[in-house]
Amino acid sequence: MGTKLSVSLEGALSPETAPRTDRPPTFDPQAGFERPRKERVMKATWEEMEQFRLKPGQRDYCAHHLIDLMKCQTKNAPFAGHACDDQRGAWDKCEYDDHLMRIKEYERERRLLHRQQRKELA
Amino acid sequence: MNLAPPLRRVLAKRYLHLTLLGRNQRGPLTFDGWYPRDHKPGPYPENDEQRRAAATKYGIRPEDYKPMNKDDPIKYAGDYPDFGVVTFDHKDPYEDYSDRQMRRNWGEMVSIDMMRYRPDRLTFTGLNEEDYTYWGHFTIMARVLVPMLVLTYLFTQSDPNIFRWQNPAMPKQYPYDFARAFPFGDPRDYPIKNYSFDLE
Repeated sequence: MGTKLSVSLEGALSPETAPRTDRPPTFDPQAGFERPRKERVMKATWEEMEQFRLKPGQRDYCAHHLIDLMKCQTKNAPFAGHACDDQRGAWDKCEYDDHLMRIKEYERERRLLHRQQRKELA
Repeated sequence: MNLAPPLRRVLAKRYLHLTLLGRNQRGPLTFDGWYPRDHKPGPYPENDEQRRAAATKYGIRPEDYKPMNKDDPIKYAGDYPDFGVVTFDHKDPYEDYSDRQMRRNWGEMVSIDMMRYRPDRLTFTGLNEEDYTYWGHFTIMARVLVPMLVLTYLFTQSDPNIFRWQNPAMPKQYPYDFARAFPFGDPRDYPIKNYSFDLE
């Protein structure tokens, strides 16, 4: 999103206002929004994830797409090929949107930290 | 038995043409099946016409053309020309050769002893054994491995807050706290509330 070098440079030069990427955001999730944010809901149940033996890293908010993909693969086994491309594309898009949300969280955290510093200095 | 060249030349002169009897012939024409069909040298040129034809065949000027001595049992090679000894060091070092390592152009005529005087076999100005030093070997390896190791060190740093070329992102959001439940807990006991950027 155009922040590859600039944000890292900013983070390296002034580490006090750089968000930490190894821990969750430190501010209130609802702060600054005019209307409340929607909660993220899991669409795949725990029993389904257990049945398909998903790894802990795969049990995220895109697991329902992954389960659809696995169902399609077992249906077209042993050579699924391009028969499951739609499901894989849906899963990839969901993961991509999740990554974009992570980047947006970083940017929000960074702006809130800058704002906090401005308020402290003022 | 290695004789000195002058003595060998005297002894090699035949006063009786035993080559016709098929004895003591060691030249390249004495055995069959060696040459590709068109590469075998022709018979010794007898008259001027044959000499001119042979010179044209080998791509030399007729006045430069000199076949091997017919009486020489070792070197006799039909109408193949005799250039004398031509080595790597005889050639011009600054000419732009097509084969720089052998100092020869493509299609250039070679003497019949070419394989004996090859540059990787015999040279005074070419490759020298004393130039292959231990320090040279070490430099060749080090100038590849040292940058490789330095770059590996730089690219394998795991601190998330150093100067990085990537889209910085917060950690991935999961519905349950798997790390807290590890190893024997049930992650369903530790749910996490996450929010998206869609507003109600």
